[in-house]
Amino acid sequence: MSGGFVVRCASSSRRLRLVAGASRTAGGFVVRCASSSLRSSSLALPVLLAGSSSAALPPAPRDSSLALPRRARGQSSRVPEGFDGVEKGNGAPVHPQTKERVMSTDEAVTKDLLQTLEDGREGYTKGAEKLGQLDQPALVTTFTELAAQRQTFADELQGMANDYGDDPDRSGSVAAALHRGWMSLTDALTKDTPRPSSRPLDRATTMP
Amino acid sequence: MTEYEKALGNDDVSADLRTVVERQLAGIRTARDTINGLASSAD
Repeated sequence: MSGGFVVRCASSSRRLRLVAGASRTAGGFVVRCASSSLRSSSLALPVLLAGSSSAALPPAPRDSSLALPRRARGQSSRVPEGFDGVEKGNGAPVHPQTKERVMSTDEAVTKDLLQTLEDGREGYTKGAEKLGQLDQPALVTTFTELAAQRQTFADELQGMANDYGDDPDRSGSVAAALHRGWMSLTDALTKDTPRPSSRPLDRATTMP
Repeated sequence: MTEYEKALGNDDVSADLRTVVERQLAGIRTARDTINGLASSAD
């Protein structure tokens, strides 16, 4: 498709292309989304034009960097709370009061999943270390594989986010960090000696 | 409810992310069954 204008979807921070038939409404523009999943539908989305004025819309540059994403993602019609259509810097929407970047739903969910996966990876890694002290090579192998699985899953989600310019934080959750700190402290105070019980396994079952 | 289940319960999550989450959750559940089996055999 040629012509039209590149616009940014307020709910997903994705670039869309304004095509023939689009019109302006009180709430923004009616945009025919050129993504695969929404090709046949029109969305009423608050959008930010590539230019500063709707009266002087620039033609869509023939620039590959402005090409439509190869996958539709975060195309929700829900606008992030507090979004006022203002974008800065990297093009992400910002909150009108705090001026902080507003995450899309997918980015926020991905962030939570990455934190969960990181917690799980660390838990299985530490479990493998403790099981190694118990001379349980089969269990060590299993736990190591599970830690690797969490890493693979996290890499997949992170790569998907990167494809769309998202930047979800990957560090483990604060609660998990506090728990790990507490466990380390109790280990140090009690000089924890691994025992051949299912306690590490029970704990692992609560992990993602 | 895990973060994965919460993600799948969020209607605003895109189809692409939902597909990945569903597949990963299946793998996680399999792993959980493995762990539960190990725990049972250890008891």
